[in-house]
Amino acid sequence: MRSKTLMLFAAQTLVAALMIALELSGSTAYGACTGTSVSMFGAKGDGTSDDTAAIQNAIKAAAASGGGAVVFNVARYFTTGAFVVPTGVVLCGAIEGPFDVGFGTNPGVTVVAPTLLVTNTNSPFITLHGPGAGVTDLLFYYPNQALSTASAPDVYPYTILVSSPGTKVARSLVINAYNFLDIESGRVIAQDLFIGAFNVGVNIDHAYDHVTLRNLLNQVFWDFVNVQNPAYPQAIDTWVLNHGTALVVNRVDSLEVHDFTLFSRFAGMLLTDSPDSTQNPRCGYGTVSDMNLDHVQFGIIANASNTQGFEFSNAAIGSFMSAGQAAVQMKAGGSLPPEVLINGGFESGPWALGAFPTPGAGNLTVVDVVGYNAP
Amino acid sequence: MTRWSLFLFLSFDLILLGGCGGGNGGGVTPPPAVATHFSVSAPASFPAGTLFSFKVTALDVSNNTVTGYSGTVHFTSTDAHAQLPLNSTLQSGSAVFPAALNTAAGQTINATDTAQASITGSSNSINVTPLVDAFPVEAFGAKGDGQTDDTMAIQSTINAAAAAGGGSVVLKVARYFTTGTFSVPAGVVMCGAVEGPFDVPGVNPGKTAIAPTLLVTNTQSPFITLNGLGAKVTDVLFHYPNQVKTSASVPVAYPYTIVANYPGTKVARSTATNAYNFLDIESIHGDGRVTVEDLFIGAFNVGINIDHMYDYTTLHDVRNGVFWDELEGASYPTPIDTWVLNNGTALVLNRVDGLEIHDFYVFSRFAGMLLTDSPDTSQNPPCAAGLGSDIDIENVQYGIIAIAARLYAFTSLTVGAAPGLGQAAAQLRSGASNGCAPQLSINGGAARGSWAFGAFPTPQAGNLYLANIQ
Repeated sequence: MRSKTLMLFAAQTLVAALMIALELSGSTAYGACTGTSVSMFGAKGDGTSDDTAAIQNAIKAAAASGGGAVVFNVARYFTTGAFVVPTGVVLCGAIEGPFDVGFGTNPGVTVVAPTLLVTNTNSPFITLHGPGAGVTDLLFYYPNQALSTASAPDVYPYTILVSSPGTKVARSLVINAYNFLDIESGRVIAQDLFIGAFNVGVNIDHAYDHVTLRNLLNQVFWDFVNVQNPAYPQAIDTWVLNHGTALVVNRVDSLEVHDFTLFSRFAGMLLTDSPDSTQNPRCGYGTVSDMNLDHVQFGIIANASNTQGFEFSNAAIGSFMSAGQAAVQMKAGGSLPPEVLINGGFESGPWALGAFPTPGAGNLTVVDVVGYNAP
Repeated sequence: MTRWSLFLFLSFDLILLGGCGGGNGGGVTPPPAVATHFSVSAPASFPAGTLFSFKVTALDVSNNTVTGYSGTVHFTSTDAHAQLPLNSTLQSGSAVFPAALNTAAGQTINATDTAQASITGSSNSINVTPLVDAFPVEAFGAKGDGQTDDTMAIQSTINAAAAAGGGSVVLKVARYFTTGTFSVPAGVVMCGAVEGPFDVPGVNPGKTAIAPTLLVTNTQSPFITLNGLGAKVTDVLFHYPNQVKTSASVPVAYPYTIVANYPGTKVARSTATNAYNFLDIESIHGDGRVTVEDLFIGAFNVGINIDHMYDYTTLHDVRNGVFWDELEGASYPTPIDTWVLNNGTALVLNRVDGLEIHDFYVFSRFAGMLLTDSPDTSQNPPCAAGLGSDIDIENVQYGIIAIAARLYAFTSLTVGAAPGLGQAAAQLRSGASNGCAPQLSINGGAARGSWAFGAFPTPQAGNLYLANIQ
């Protein structure tokens, strides 16, 4: 009798302990990411001390323990070097992104997000070099870049170079980059990015597998940073209108793009051969939906595609007022003739060459696109 | 030697008093030991707010485990905000328990026998390390018991995160009762500790903790205002415990649950039940660029309203349902659903310069979308433009009412009529301000059910472009 009572008592204890465990077990994770804090390795985040070595040590420590997150506080980490992120290591901000700068908020001066200040001019700032390497929830800012009153930007290498499959760049903001993201591998995801890059937003090549881009916004963040109430266009916007391209697509074997938006570039997308002529083919194919290219000279310039071609649905393409050349222009000169289908959406001119001029090569099919002139 | 003898004697005596009945016949039973203290072993270091386990062992004076210890252990900590187990017993002299400490410092956990306070013990020092920019509301005194007013504690947590330059204000899986409202400043993210969104089938989140839950009772102003660059709300369940039941004919009007006033703000992976109006995106400070994703919205009147948005806004994976029925376990349609069918609108679009909307689902509303001029006519234009795909609007009187719109292009749009109530899948009306006569393109999709005016009646104004509609 007594032993039975004891057993029951023990069982109740066990149940009680389990209930506590269940109640508490929902609370084990916090915030956007947790892991190796760069501050544990001496990073100051004060906007002036060079945190390059501390960040490199944090990356090494995370890699040595088999991978993990390297966490940046809401602070400004000034750097002079570059970083290689190995297998299983993710650089992430402590709070969820993407971030923004509003009118007249300079992230080089004011802390608004987990921020990396980039000054290295010699190599890509971050190289994702191993499966599972990633970058999330960060703000990249180039404090030494030309002001929006300059006539041309300073040239920097890509902010992020992706050289391995299974990598990801997500929920981040870049301001004053020259080129932002170079994807040189298949099976890469880029999502929820606000991109302020003067020359090239995203470049894709050597992707012998699928690449996904979604919810990408290419904007003129440099105006917001430098000017309290930015009167668009600033001087540097003119350079971007004559040079900037939001997305350059070389060799990719199935690209998926949706929710791709830009404001004010020379071209929205350039579909063309890889400069690396050892590839066969040198060009790509894919599908795009819900694409809004606003204020461009050219929406899409296509001079090469793999035989599957590129299919766009629900595409909006708007000209840069009097400077608009064509919504879609098919050019000769590629290794394979470009195949492009535009199915649904609208274009708003005027276009000097016409919205959809006769292809110089390949085939352009336009279906159910509404011609729309803004009031 | 003397003490040892005495100890043996006492322990034997105690066991006899305890009446360990049943005897085991001829066996020789060694004299059982008596517990004099506890050992409490815990990790040397652990992050704040994160569950760990510690072990309590009842020991005799020689530090041998007392397997027969049958007392009850009470837990305390040097951390005033610790989460500790309830009074518990041990099994065969020891047990492992979960706990979480919330205040970053060297802390200990103490165990004491409830009947005999001299049987006690303290853990090694536990170095409670701060999580990177994470601010648990418990560390500022929030109870999360569903009754205590946690408004001040949560506001203090927000203030602390803001003072640190930004960070996450973390809500556990608990019910935080509130009477006030919150302003979330730049760089502060109010987030749940587990990933949302959440759901309420047959579960009342006002009574049962199933998610990081904010119980909203304030009727005066918007519950949360995202009031700085990058301010966000993620992974939270919002519930209005004082809202009417589904048997009522009219809901109680509340202000919006969330107002987003700045660029770079975001509302993600969250659920609202019994709201009146849920989300008002008004990027009045700066250009816009607001992200809305992965939401389950149970709002009677307006799910999402967008205005003063001079840039792009992304809205995707948003479901507007009748969660009030679900949480009461009631069968659709309940009386309150009739009010919603005559009044509720999932999405109201005023001035937006570039909306991207996809994976948008609506069940049982008066209208899925209302495209119309902003009430603020000082804007030029006061209407909107955008793109959308994979939109499913079910059981409505109107799928889309367009009074004013620069141009919207939708693809893969499905609209289904509420039985006996369907008016039109898409109706273009007159009455827009200058330059805002509605332009609407629908390419691909279907209009199902019976529509009093026809699925796509002749536009009163503007242009309706239809292609590939079933």
